[in-house]
Amino acid sequence: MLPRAARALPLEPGKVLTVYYSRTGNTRAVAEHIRELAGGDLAEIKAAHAYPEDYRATTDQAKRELEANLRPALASDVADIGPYGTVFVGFPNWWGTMPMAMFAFLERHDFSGKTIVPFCTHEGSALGRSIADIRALCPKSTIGQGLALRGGSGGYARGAAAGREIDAWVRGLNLASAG
Amino acid sequence: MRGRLALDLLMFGLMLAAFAYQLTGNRIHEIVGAAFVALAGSHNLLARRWYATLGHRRLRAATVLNLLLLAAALLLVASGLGNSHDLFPALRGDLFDRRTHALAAYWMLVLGAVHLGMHGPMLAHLCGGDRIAPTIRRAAMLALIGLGACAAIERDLILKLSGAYAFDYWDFSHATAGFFARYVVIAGGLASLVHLARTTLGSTKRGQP
Ligand SMILES: Cc1cc2nc3c(=O)[nH]c(=O)nc-3n(C[C@H](O)[C@H](O)[C@H](O)COP(=O)(O)O)c2cc1C
Repeated sequence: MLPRAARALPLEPGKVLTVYYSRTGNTRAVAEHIRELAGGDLAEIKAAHAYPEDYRATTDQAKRELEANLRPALASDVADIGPYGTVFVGFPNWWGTMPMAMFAFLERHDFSGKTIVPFCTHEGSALGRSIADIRALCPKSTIGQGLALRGGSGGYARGAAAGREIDAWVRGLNLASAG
Repeated sequence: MRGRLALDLLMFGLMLAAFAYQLTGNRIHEIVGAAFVALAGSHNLLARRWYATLGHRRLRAATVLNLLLLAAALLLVASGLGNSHDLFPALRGDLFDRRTHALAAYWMLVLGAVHLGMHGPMLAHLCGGDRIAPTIRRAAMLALIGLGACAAIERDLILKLSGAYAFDYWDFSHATAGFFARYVVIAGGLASLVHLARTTLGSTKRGQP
């Protein structure tokens, strides 16, 4: 396996980017941890429109957006995906897949030849059908082994056990030899 | 008696349909839930003798299990009403979240299966199962227990019973039958386990079948 020192970087070719969407912070916590391990840059994707404070109203709205296959405008995006070779893409599972803002993000940039490594937090659905959706949006990318952690309020994703799971997963991806 | 069996079967069918929320969407899920409540109401009405004797009954395991089933059912209904969007939006509130509803539902599945297993001999008689050779019957039940255990692991049942889950996921683009089959063998396996345990323990203790 990898020598321990090889864990932090360098990732060839191109830099590493960890990009995430998060409404209540679970996915953000996981993304920050991944960034610490894999190095590179961290970026948050945000939709331009707001969601209600209320959880159920948010789920209703998200359901409508999914059914309409909406591509929301983004208030926060990555300026240029060009320099990155490996992109960790994180999101909460919403209705079995990614929030529509993540669909918009993946569609706006050219991921050809890059490696996308998906991760999500969820309350039972794990990665759902998100991998198939990512593959359809980025047909010319390599999709790495995804990671799903239980989130929600008081979720597992922010705990120490999840941290160890993230460590093992990132190490298992063998990123340093990806060049 | 056959009518009661049909009622129970229908309840089980509705329960399975309710688990497929992801497939049916919200409105159908709520209609299925309301129909289940109506059937469960009749089921309880038919069992009113059980309630009548409840006060002067020794507290046996069976009674406790039935009371737990009743508690899960009440929590299921209360949290269902509290989360309703389509049929009872006026009752929607913040007392019970989605996770509570899911928790109650998985306990209903498990306690319902135990309840079925308690009535094993009666059920076997009604379906003509008691005409099947005991060895074959036992082998079938053992097979169901094995399949049920595998399905329970695959569907993460323990975590679901601990209230960790608010959503279930199944890739319905593959095989819809596979989703239902797993919940059927979980319930069937558990009912068989209870039935086998009771007959085995019962026959060594009291010499009864
Ligand atoms: C609109 C919405 C829809 C959701 N749909 C699902 C779902 O289908 N399956 C699931 O397991 N969890 C679902 N969840 C729960 C979230 O995936 C979970 O709480 C996640 O950890 C939230 O991540 P965050 O804190 O980064 O926003 C949903 C949450 C929201 C707000």
